[in-house]
Amino acid sequence: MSGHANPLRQGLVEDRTPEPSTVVIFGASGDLTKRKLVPALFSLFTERLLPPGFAVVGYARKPMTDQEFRAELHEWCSKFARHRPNDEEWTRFAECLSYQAGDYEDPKAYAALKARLATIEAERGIPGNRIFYLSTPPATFPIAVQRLAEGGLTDRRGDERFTRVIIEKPFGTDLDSARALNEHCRCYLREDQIYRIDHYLGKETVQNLMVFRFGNALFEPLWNNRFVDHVQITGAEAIGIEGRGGYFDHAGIVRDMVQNHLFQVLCLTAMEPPVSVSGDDLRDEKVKVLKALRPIPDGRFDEFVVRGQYREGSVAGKPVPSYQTEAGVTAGSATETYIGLKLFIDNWRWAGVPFYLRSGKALPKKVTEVALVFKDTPHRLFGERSASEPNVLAIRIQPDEGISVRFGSKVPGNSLDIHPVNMEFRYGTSFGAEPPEAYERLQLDCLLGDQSLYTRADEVEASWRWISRLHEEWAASASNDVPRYEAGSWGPEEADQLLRRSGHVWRRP
Amino acid sequence: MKTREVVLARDVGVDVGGIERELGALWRDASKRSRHHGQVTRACSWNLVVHCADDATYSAVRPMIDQAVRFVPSRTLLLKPRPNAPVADGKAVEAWVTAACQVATGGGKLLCTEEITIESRGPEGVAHLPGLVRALTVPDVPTALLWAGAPPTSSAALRILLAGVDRLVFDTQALPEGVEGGLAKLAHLGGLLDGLALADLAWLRTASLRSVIASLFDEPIGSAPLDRLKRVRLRSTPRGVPAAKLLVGWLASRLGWGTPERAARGQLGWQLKIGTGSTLRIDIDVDRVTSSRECHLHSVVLETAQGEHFAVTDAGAPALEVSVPGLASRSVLAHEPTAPQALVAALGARGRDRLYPVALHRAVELDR
Repeated sequence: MSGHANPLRQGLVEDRTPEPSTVVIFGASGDLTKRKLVPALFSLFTERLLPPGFAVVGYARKPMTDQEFRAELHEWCSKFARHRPNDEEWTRFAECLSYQAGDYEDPKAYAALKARLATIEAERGIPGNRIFYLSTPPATFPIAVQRLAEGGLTDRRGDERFTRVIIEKPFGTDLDSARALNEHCRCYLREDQIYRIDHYLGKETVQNLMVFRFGNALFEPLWNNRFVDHVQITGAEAIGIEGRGGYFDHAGIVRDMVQNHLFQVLCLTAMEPPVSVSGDDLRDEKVKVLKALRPIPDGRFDEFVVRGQYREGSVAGKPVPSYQTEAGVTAGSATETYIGLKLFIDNWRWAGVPFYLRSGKALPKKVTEVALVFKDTPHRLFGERSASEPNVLAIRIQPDEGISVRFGSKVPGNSLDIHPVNMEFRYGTSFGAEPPEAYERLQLDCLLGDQSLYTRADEVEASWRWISRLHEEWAASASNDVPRYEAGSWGPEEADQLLRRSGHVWRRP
Repeated sequence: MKTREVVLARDVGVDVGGIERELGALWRDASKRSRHHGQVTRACSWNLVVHCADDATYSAVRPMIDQAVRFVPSRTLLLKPRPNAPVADGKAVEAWVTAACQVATGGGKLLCTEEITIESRGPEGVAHLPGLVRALTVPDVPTALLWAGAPPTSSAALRILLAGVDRLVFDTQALPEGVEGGLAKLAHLGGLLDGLALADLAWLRTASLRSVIASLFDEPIGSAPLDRLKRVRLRSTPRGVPAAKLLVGWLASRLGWGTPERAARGQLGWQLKIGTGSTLRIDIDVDRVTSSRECHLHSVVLETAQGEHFAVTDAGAPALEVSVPGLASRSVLAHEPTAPQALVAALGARGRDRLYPVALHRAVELDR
């Protein structure tokens, strides 16, 4: 990394500036490129976090000129970049942008891409460092990885120049497919060249979970089964599937949200302190959590899992149609739009503490949070007047990122009445500055060769190992009957019962 | 983040002995009124004590503080010591409080900060200030002292004010022009108290310039030319000389240069040995120089013994023209912070910049 070789870089804010490199985005005409990937690169550019020798090459089947590509991206960056471009900034950034039309399977197209890259790199003083961002449909991942290697665009051998491949989610649809994709990728790439992205890990507040736990002496002593009664992790979406019926009906909420995003949050909440936050140390600890997840016992599936599917209702005053009537959804589909899980992590720290996870579409609001609900005091000194609500430490990941603590306080007056109050820290208002977008951090990390916020092969397989059990059970079930919940509610009644059996209730975040 | 401001009280005169009580009443009123705006959340991550030597400084600094505290919620104590002013109506000290809240677009909770102005008159009034500061700082959050205007020189009053201060913020660009030894006095000040961090707004303004200079020696060029340097020339306006010296101090500290010797008395030229044992000439040229940059620097040119030139030149803020051997000149954007942004940086991690004390120490050598 040049930042370490250059003595003038040491100690600077931009001491992590990457080496001159090219980012090639496969799926360049897609939504993710326009809304997230290029706006994020533009923000990095304006913050001078990209090297002077830098280029972005869009690659997709759609024919387009460089000028058309730049004009399209200008419009999207103006809408979605954290830092809106002015004319001068855009002119300079646009010089970095090129477009190459090509098929994902045709070897000739890859040869043309290689020639184009050589020209761009010569013009911009880039010594051949390349990142290929696969923002394409998952079915194209294997062939793209193969063709890149066969075409000499990536190099599995150690070399002075780096070639890395970012693979968007979903990485597989079950354990078998994830294993197969891992094995396929390993034929053409080393593990340190593979960057499996989960944008949740790029969110500031997800990273703040680690800082909160391991950067403070106050909380970690309480972070175990001696003090924590149970943990609730919520990933709620207010929207329905909104035109993604074709994709979602095959995926379901478990593949869409739980296997990746919520399990990452679970890992960061439950893991042991890593030796360091770089390289493999962090990922080692996350894998240990996934390996410690207790398999659901045979014959007791309903005690641990509740799925649901929304019917018509309304969210935030707007009518939402039933899932069954959404475009692209198969008639009679049993795909889950809601999941409630009761998990146990069988290790020293968390033995006996239920972790409740829920995620759903068409819930009352968009919110992702982790809440640690604490045990009652050993003795109720104030009798009936004691606070009836348990202490809660809630970490809000989105929106309104922050942390709140609920505790009991004496109500002012001559009698001894206790009332729960909230003490809140709000991330945005306490620092003012806007945090970078997740894709900014993650793309910068890849340029710098830092994989700590990307998922590793064994991590992906460990999460699929647990998740695939759900799909196997549902597939084997004679009943295709999925409990329905009204759009705009917090899920099916069965989800409330899941907690009620243990004397718990879902929070209303 | 888009916000609108709700001012709960502006410059309300209060009894000096009851400032906390008055503020408490203000917040209770705010809470009662909060049903219109949402719940009141008072945030405080710093005690920001601002020393305003005169009224002009006070007027200039207040808008900057108002902007900065939106990003770094603070209890601000604005001090107006007026040792030569007559005591009016028997009051050697008077105080005013201001409380304002930011409401995020779309409503929600109020984020509120408070500002206390204390004017002290006559030697007796000024003597009250350190005690008042100690009484009014919020516990368990750090305290920064912003010395607005010309940076302080060592004095008994300053020593007293510095007690309990974690960070001293000042601007070496405000050093009176032509004053030699100003940096040395600041370095001495930094050594007065253990653990006192110095945050220099002039240094923070050079952050993007330093970054561009560093980028000249990234791959593929690499840092080898830094071992072959023969001459470093900086051009700045007279006001930019402290920043120019700090830049030299930074280069000297990062590249392990030897102690400089002045080429001729009164001139801004030095010679020193670099790691390879060869001699390096340094010049700061201030004749007929203009600059569009807040740091008042126009150009930095590093020349090797082989005649290679690495140059960064003001091309009309925020642009800098960059030239390195073998590649076409190019223009890069290097934004400088506004005054409130520099203050926010001074109160953040960048204010504890580990490069600064070393650069300052090496810059002081230029004044010997």
